[in-house]
Amino acid sequence: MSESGSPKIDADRPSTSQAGVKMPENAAVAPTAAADNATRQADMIDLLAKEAEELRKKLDLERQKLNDIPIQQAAERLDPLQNLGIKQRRILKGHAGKVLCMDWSTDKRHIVSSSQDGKVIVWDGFTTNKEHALTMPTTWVMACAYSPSSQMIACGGLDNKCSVVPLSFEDDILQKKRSVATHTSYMSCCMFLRSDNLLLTGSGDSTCAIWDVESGQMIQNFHGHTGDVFAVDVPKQDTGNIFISAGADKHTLVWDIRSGQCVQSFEGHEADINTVRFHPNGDAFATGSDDASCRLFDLRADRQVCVYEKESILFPVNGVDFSLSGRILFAGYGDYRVGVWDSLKVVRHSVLYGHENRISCLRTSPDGTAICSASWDCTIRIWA
Amino acid sequence: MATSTLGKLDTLCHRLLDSAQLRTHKYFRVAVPQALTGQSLVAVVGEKGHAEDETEATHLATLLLQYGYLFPVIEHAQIVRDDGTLYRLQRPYFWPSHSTQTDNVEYAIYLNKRLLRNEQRHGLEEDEIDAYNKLAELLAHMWGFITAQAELQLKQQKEKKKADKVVYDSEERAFWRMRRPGTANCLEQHVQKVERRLRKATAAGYRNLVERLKFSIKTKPWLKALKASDTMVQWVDQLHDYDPLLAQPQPSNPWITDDTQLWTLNTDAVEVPTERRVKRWGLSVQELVKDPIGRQVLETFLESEFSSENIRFWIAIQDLKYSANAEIESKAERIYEEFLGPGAPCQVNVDQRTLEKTMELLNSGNPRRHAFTYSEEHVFTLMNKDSYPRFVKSAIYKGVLSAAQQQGSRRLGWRNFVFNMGAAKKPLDLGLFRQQATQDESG
Repeated sequence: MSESGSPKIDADRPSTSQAGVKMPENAAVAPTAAADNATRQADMIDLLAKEAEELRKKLDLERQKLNDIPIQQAAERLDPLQNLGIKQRRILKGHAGKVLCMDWSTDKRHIVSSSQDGKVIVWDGFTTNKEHALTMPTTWVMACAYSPSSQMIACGGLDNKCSVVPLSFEDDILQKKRSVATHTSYMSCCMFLRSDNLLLTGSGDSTCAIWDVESGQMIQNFHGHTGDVFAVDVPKQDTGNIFISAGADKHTLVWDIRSGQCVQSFEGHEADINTVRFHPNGDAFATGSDDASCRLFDLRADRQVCVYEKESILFPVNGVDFSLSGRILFAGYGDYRVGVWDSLKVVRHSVLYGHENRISCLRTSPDGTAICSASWDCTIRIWA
Repeated sequence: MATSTLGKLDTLCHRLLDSAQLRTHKYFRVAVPQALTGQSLVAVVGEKGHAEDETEATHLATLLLQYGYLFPVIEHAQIVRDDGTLYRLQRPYFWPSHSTQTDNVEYAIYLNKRLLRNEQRHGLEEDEIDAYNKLAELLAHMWGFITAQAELQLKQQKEKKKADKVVYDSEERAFWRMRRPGTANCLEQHVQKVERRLRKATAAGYRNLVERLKFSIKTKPWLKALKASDTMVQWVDQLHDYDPLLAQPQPSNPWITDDTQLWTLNTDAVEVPTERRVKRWGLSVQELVKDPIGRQVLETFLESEFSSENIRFWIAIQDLKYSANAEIESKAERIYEEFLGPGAPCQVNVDQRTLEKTMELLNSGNPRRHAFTYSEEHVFTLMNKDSYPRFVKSAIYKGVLSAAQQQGSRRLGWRNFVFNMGAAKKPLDLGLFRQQATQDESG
């Protein structure tokens, strides 16, 4: 547990100098291009990798014994989903560039969004009015988040930083902008950690970190991914001490917030994972990937539960979220559409058409009354 | 644009090329070779792309058009129409997967070719003239090469049959319309996909992995799939009626009716929580403590049992875990003094081992943000197994529930109710409450 002021310089940190080295299909197989000045080290990595691979096989065998029935069978007793009547209810226009990220306020109607041209806009989604518009000193503001008190927003991206801005109607609020987190590569995702005091970020430098908003100190960092981190999420229940992260290495890792240790890892996707979201029960999570599938993983069963895929779906999944009960899984695709899946019977229920370019982000509102999608067509749409 | 996606689009389009019925159509007495109508295009895309319905097939066809796999013959358009409009499938040479980058020289050669030909049929459009002039300036040093190339290519083309020439011209034109250098097109990637890189795994990373796997094999902590699926199905089913997208919320969904009453009735500061909300507390202790009002009611209930220190201890720990760095030490100190230390005013009943472990963490010299993690677990289990079942059966919970049910007829705030019945502010009130509680149980 290190609450040191500056990032730890660790000899074992993933080296960024190995840029461009492609990972083999299975991440556990030793990388072929080992540094030649440290052959011994490379041999050891080799050995460890082999050991890990064997252990994994053994584990898979053991698991297979318990893999008795698919979830569809358990869900047989449920009625199929009725006609949901979900339609586009609002459209928020005002961004001049691709909208990359959005987040809901806890008041269930305000929305913050960020775009590729450096704009961050705070909306009253209900009236579709813009309440604040900020211009960031960077393009590609990849992530933005509302604080739990709704008094503050956080955003950042290509500037490698996560900045917070307190929201008020006095003065120029941009003057009060403060940078809290700094990574060594772009910041791809951020969220407040259950209070306005802590910020959780994920980055292209393949790490995640928790930051103290007030002082900008790093409280804990999380090393373990072998590729860029694209998404993080925290369970809605406040009893756990975990969060999950996923990205270019196709793995979802489960972290212990207290120790900074990775406690579980999940694989299955065939390409980058772009988005992760906890099931509302907190025991499972869904992922969306460039391989055009969403997957459901169960933490307690320690395995993939099912795959949401279809032959007519060819484009990456950029946003996933559940309805309040977890019955519906919404997926925002690169093919401009939102897929509405029955998460338990594992069938696509319907499709929401409307966006005119790829969807970049999708989130259910805090009380589950609506979903919101952000797109490269410069609009944000609210569906209910 | 992910390369894997382009691969999938390629596969689909090869299937289209194999099976699409291309023929010569008449368009205002002009023969249009190697084309197909919107209807047959949508039909074949639907069949080969496994589309569920016509909407999906049309959408897939539109995507293929926007990615440059097919194009309208007569008039430029961004969407595919399911009618008599004529379309042509793009030649694989011009697919985006084959030419990921386009450069100025190629484009200049193409524009030059057009200029060398019949002006009426191949003349440049206004924006193309602008582009041509800019390129002539930019590539002046190699303009001779560019014109020579253009002439050469034209000469080769002359040997082709007329129909083939018409088709090739349209394919080339469609390609450059979408892929002109320097303009945005749908192949643009998210910057994080351009920047993304994979790193070598480290020895420490592997050591952690091996350790984790060994531990997992030894302890086998995982649930059977059957059990895990079953509990999930059960959980989801239980919440069905509370899901606004599955069951209509009361009174209505604000996004659909423009009426914000639902939100006004469900704020954290509301006097009377709605019946649905109170019922939800009965599902699990997590549901109860997630709701600020739920927490307060639980606290009031425990106060009446003289055991409110547990929930207060738990809430204090939650607060500590997510506090600012600056406050951690003082808050941790206060929690210790109030709940754990010798002679603490609200002594929490934790067992000796948990207490020892907690003390160890407190005195380890590390930051104390997570020092109470063992006590927290202990107390939460206690609340879940012991207090919560009694809470759900208690007069207080039933009272709040019936107040919620009567809401509308009689405005009875839960605060009112709780303070009249349960709050142990005065011994008199408490006596009254207990009396009522016993009556309740016997009755």
